[in-house]
Amino acid sequence: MRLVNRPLALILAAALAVAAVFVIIEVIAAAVHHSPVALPWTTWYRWASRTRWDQLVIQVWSAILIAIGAVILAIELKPPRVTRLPLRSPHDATDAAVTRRGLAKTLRAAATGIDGISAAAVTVGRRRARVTATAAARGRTAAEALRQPVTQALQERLDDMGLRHPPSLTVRVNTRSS
Amino acid sequence: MHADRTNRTALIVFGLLVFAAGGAGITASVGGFGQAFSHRTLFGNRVSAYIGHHGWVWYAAAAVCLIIILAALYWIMVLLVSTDRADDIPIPVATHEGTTILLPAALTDALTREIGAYHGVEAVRGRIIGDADDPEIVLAVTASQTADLHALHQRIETEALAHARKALGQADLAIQLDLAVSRLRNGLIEARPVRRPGVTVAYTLQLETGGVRQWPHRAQTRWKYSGMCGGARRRPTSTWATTARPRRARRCPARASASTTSPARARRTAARPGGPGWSARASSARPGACAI
Repeated sequence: MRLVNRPLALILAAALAVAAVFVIIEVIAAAVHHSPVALPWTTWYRWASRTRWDQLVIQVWSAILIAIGAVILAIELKPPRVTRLPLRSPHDATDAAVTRRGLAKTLRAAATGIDGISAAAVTVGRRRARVTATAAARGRTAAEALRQPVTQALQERLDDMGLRHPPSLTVRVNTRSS
Repeated sequence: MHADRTNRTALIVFGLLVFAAGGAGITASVGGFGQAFSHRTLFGNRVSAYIGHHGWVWYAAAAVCLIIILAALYWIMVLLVSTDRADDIPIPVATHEGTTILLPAALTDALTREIGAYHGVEAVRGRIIGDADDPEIVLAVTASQTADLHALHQRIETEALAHARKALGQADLAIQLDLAVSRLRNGLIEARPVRRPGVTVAYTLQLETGGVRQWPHRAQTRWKYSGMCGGARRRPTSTWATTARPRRARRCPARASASTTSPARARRTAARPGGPGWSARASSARPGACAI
């Protein structure tokens, strides 16, 4: 968000400043009867004086403005993605959290630390953590046998972390493909 | 002035104005304000007529534009040069003979050094933001994957952060603590002296990803192994190396390309390869061995 906002804000500020400079120049030029100087505003004035509201060009430009405004509002009002999950802290003034990626790596380490699990993929969201572990052995029976210990180990790891709102855990154990 | 918040507010206002202008235009065009209005020209309304007959409106507009220019220039300056970092922090002391100033860098250095020495911590970054009278500490701690995050959090809270609050004399000092976890999955570090006196090479067996972030500011040769490897005494196949700190190079240019870790850290790293706090598995916790 911040990465998008800064260049957007810079462009907007520069555009506002330039437009304001042009207005001042033209007002002064009109006052001394030398208008137009920097912008062909008399042409625009004549165009606006003969263009009616129900013409297609007005609808097109209105649609363009609506689209631009909607995009900007969507970018600004979209809730930011959860990047940190708050931890229970003994001090009220401390805002402690574990990063979403950090939690995913911790869960992944916990899953792969179990004998029989060769790999794990973890996705941590706002409310749910999905772990897809891959059993080292082939066969559905072996994978099913690992599901309970993997779930237990991951749940213990989650509980031990002291998260304020721990995500619910969803564990899948896949068999190794060929 | 918090530039990010201002940016967002200004962009929301701008987006609303543009959206409203477009909506009004399309409404007028399709006859939402009456069919008679939609058949008029753009300037065929009372507001345009008023502006056309009163020249002072343009002078007022020019004055408003002047204010807009000043505000926009100030906004640009804030965007380009401002920072949210705190200035020097005055320490409340019970004397009227002077003011004690605490440099933010001194506080963050002390904090990062203390937390960096904790078990399971791989890297610490800190900064102080906000007003000097009401600062906020932002800490980012990277722990190893095998670290007990809860215990680490409690220790940071009860020791380092308590020390910071005591140093500043603010019991309710706002602190943001972000705990991250290292990318390094399995690692084994072997430090040993080389022929050049005072120089120690730290070999890092890194099996999963690049970028050991423990000493990003140190000149250090880091070796990355891509598969099974033999003894650490055998020169490994290097994939990349870095020498990021020029200070050592100035003192002793011939050693600049070699790894330079402090003797204390070398002893520490040599004493506990694969031990507690290191992310090597038990099967690979011996010098020169690694597991994929």
